[in-house]
Amino acid sequence: MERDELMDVLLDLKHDLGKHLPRPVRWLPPDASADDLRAALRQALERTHGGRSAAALWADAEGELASVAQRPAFQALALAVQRALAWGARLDDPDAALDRAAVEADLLAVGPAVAALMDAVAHG
Amino acid sequence: MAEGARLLLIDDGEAYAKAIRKRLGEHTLLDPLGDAAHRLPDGPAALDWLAANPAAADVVLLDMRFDVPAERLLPLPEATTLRRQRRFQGVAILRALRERWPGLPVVVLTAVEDLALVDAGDEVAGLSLTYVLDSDDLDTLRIRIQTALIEAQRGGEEGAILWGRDPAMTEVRRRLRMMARGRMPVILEGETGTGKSYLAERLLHAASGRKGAFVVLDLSTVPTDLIPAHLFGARRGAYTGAVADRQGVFELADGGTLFIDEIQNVPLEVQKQLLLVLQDRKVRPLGASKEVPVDVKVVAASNAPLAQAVRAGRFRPDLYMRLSPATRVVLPPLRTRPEDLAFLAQRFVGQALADPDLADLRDEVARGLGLGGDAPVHLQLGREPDGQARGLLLMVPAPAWKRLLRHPWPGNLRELAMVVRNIVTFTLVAAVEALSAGAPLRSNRLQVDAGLIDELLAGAMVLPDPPEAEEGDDPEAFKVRVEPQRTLNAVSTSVERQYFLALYRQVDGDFGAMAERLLGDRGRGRAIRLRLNQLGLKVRDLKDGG
Repeated sequence: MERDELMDVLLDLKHDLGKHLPRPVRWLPPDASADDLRAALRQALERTHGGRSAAALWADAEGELASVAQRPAFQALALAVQRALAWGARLDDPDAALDRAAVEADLLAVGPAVAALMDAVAHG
Repeated sequence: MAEGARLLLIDDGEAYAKAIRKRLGEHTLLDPLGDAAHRLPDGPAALDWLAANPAAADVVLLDMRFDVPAERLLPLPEATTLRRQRRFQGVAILRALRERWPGLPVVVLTAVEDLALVDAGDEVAGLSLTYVLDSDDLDTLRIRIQTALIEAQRGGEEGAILWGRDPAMTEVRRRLRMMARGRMPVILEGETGTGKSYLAERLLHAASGRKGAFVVLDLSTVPTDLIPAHLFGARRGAYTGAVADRQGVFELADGGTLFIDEIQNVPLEVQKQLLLVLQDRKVRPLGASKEVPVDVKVVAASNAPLAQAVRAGRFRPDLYMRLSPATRVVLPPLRTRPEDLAFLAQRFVGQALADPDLADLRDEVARGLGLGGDAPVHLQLGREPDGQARGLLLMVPAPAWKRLLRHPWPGNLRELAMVVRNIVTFTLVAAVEALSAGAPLRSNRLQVDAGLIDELLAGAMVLPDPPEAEEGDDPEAFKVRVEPQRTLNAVSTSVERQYFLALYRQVDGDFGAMAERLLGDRGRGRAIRLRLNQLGLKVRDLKDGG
């Protein structure tokens, strides 16, 4: 894949995951209840952008980014995405505690990881 | 107005609309289409709505990516693929908003680093009343909205400032904004036409919060021996010809801002007095026994580095230091930022069309082409448009565009504005004449005459002012001054311009009288107005005595 095409894929990823994944949690009011947090996390992971889930968006991008899969920046991104997606396992367990700060930090970490890979691709 | 502002959201998605209504309840999110969506979904919808409701919104919130059909995208020449057209569509919408509603604050819902991907970061950062959200959180959005409202109220005029995309201008803007505060003097240096007085008034004074007047003293127009009286004022009888008390500009600008243009023209013997006024904040009018306290922010302008005048012994070093050279701001000449030319030229099209005469011409052409009135007008500089372009396109041929890029622009922005105005006028007039003659125009592309651009560049800066008629002359005769020009056509234009100007003044702006004199038909005043436009003579300026 040409560099411009790679950059296009990464730009989409930065928008779809980097921006939309953390948004529902990030936009909760400070005094949001645990139920509100759970609903926001569900929306973030399952209806991330354009009605698609974060996992599906990542799966598409992962395939298109195969040519850079060996780069450390890609692996760091993959790790960040997995950490964010891992919160999904707690959604269906009503007893599982959700720490808002930790959730938000993990979801927010995806954007900078995409940006770091973009930087690596742009500079060779 | 920080509370209860009317927000207009331009966004193809619903997330922001929902969140703003839920979390930013202190403001009203407009429902422009009345469909409870509380947003406009794309650029064309936004431009149409704002054209019909220009004062309905206090702040625009603008998304960057628009996943809409291609026919709903505004042109974005630097985006080479449809994907990028969509991703950075907000830049195209922002340009249209800035051009047509420069005083309307816009918060762009994206990050500066993303704008850099289409080389638009500096451009957006340099635009007036434009704020980048940067962080996708609602508290930051709340702050951006508040900032936008405050700045729009405080310095609404700043919305009309054209900064361009050049990083040097971004730095100028940053420095001027900082220096607007307080009473510290500011030195503004820059060639003629770079906008020194404009920025002094529209930014330094407007953003200073000072309640007093903005007063201009252009020392290039004041006889040397009268400079002290103009600066400090004079009491009746202080000098021959002082038949009444005269307030100086320091007193007139008390509580406000004094812009001293061409300050290097202050005679050495007067510079000491000026220094004392700046130091003591008191002025003693000529012939007065008492000093008058004054609170004035001084903006000193020069078209050459003041330090040169200091080195040459023409300007006192202590006065120079008092003017705070550390705060000196140099406005770059237009020729050093050719990448701004297209951007600025397009904005000057918008300014030209603010003239009702030109807007009428534009509407006449647009109607002739079936486009409807108020069609946007774009300068298409040296290349074909990307994709489908709306409105009227003034097609500047590639060689002419290269010529514009190579031109040294000795008159800087003022010269560019005049050239663009003439391009718009001549091209629209040619189209109107073609339509009047029954020639069908089938395309929205109007060819700009390359020869016209050559003439404009050759003649724009050397057109002399018309000489005044002398007593005893034939009242219907005018003297015109003929100076060498690059081409005969430029000579003709210069002569004709002087003649029209003199005649306009003689008949007190009565177009019917001008038509009667020139065409033998009083009913053809409109033809006279068109010709004035072609000659670059703005009726509004003429009425103002310009």
